[in-house]
Amino acid sequence: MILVIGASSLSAHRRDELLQAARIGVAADRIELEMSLTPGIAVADEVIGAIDRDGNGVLSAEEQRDHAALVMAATELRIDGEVVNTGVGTATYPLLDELREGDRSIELRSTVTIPRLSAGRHEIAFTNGYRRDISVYLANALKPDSERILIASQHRDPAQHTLAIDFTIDGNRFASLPVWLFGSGAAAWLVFRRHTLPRIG
Amino acid sequence: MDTRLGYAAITVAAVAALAVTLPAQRTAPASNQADTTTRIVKAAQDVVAAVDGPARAKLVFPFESPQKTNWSNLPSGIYKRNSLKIGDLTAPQRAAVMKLLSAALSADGYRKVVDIMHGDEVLKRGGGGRGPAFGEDEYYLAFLGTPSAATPWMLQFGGHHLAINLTLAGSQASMTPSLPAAQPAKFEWEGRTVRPLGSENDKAFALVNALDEKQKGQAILGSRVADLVLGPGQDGKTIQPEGIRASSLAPAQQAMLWDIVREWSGIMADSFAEPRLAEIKSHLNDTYFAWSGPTTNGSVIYYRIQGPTLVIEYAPQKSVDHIHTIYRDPTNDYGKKIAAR
Repeated sequence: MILVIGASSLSAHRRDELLQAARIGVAADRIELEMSLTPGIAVADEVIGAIDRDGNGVLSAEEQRDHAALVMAATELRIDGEVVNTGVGTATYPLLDELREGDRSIELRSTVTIPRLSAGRHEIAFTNGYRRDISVYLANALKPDSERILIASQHRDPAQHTLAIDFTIDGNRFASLPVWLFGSGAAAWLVFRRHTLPRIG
Repeated sequence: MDTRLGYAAITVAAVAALAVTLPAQRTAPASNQADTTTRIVKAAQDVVAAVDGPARAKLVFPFESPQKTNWSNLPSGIYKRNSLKIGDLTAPQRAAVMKLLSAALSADGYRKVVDIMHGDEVLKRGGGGRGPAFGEDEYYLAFLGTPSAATPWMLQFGGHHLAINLTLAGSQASMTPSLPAAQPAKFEWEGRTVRPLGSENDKAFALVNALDEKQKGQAILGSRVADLVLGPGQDGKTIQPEGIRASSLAPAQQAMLWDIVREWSGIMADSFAEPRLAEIKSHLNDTYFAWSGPTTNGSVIYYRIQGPTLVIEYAPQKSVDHIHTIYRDPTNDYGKKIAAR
C-alpha cells in the first residue's frame, strides 16, 4: 500500500454528511475501484476521530492504513457472483485541518486482478456499507478503455449503496470495425479483380 | 481502361470510409473567431498594462503551470487562490478586468457571471458562513501563458461558486472545465429578481416533462444522485453515459436539450460558442440526458447531459437555493486538444 500524505482531491463543500463517491473501472483482467470520501463540516470531527485513534492531532501512516482497510472491509465487490478481495492499493489522506474544513477528500484506490474474463456477458456488483449512519453515496462505472467491453446497464439501490454493472466482452477483435467498411472494401476489390483478370476467349 | 476503373472503385471506397470516420467539423467564419480573439487579447493586454509589478506576478503564470488546476467552487478562506484578487484592484484596474470578461464571454455569459458574483455579495451581506470570505471582491483572475493570438494561453477567472477556465489557441477556444454555481439561487438585486441558474433549472424541468412515459423510463435514474460526479478534482475521468439518447428524442425535444446545453456552451463569446454547440450536436446518437428526482419544478433534482465531448451536471446541494454545476469536455479539458495543434 502506498500512502501519500498531504495531497488530496478537492470537492464541493458539504456540511452534515460524509459523501462517499465510488467509481469502478472495468477491464477483462482487472477491476479498478476508486473511492473518494469527503466529510462535511458537521461530521468531520467524527470521521477524524475514527482515523486519529490516539487523538494526537496527527494522522499517522499506520492510522491511515488501518482506516483505509476499515473502509474497504465495509465494501464488497463481486464478479459474476463471486466475491473478490478489494484490499487497499493506495490511500491519500489530507492534512487534518484540511479534512476538518469539510472540503477535502480521502482518496482510496484498489486494483483487483482477476482471471481474464471470457467473451460474453458478465456482472460486477459493488456494495458500500461504510458509515451508512452519516453518509450519502455516489456509485458509477467508468467508461471502459477497451472498445471490446460494452456496459449494457447500471443498476443501483435508491441511495446508491449498491451498484450492479452488466457488461459484455466481445471476443471478436474486429467486431469494433463497422460492417460497411468491410463491405465497401470487398466490393471495391471485386470490381478491381473483375476488370484486371485477363479475358478468356 | 479497365484497370483505371478498378483503381477508381478502390479510391471511392477509401474516400467514403474517411469521409464518415472523420469527425464533423462545422465552424463559424474564421474571421469572426479571429476578431474575437483579437479583442480578448487586447483586453487582456490592457489588464496586464494596468497592474504593476507585484500585482502582475499574481496575474501571469506559465501556460503549463500548477495554477491551471488551481480552481474550485469553494469560498476564500477555505480555498486559497494564488492569483490576482479583484478586490485588491483600483477602480480603473477592476474596470479593465470586467471589460476583458465582457470581451471573452457572450452577453448572456457575462450576465451569468456577474449575477453569480452578485449572489455571493448577497451571501456576504446576509452574514453567511463562518471563516470563509464571501462577496464580489473575492474573485480572482489569472493568465496562464502570454495573451496572444498566436500561441495558446488561458484566462482563468473565479471564486466562490464560479470557475471559468477559458483556453485560447489562435482562433479556437475551449471553456472546459468550468463551474457555474449559485447560492442563493434567487435573490433581489437593484430592484430585479435574479436567478443566476434559473434557465438551467427551468429548461430542464420543461424537457423532462416533455418526455412521454417510455422516454421518462429511459431518462430517469432510479436512485438519488447526491452531488456532482465529475466536480472539482475529478479531471481526466469519463463515466459511463446513462439516460435517454438524444437520438431517441423528438426534434422538438432535441431542440430543448440543445437549448439547455447552450446555457453552458454559450457562456463564451458567440463566435466560439456556435461551433462548440455544432460539435456537441454532431454527436446526437451518443449524447444522453439523465435525470434523478421528482419532475415538479421546485424540487431538488439532479441531471446530466453527456456526450463524447460533453459533460454537464446540475446538482443542487440538498436545497434548491444552493446549486453546483460542472461543464467538461473529456477530449479537450484545459484546451489540451486545441493547444496541441
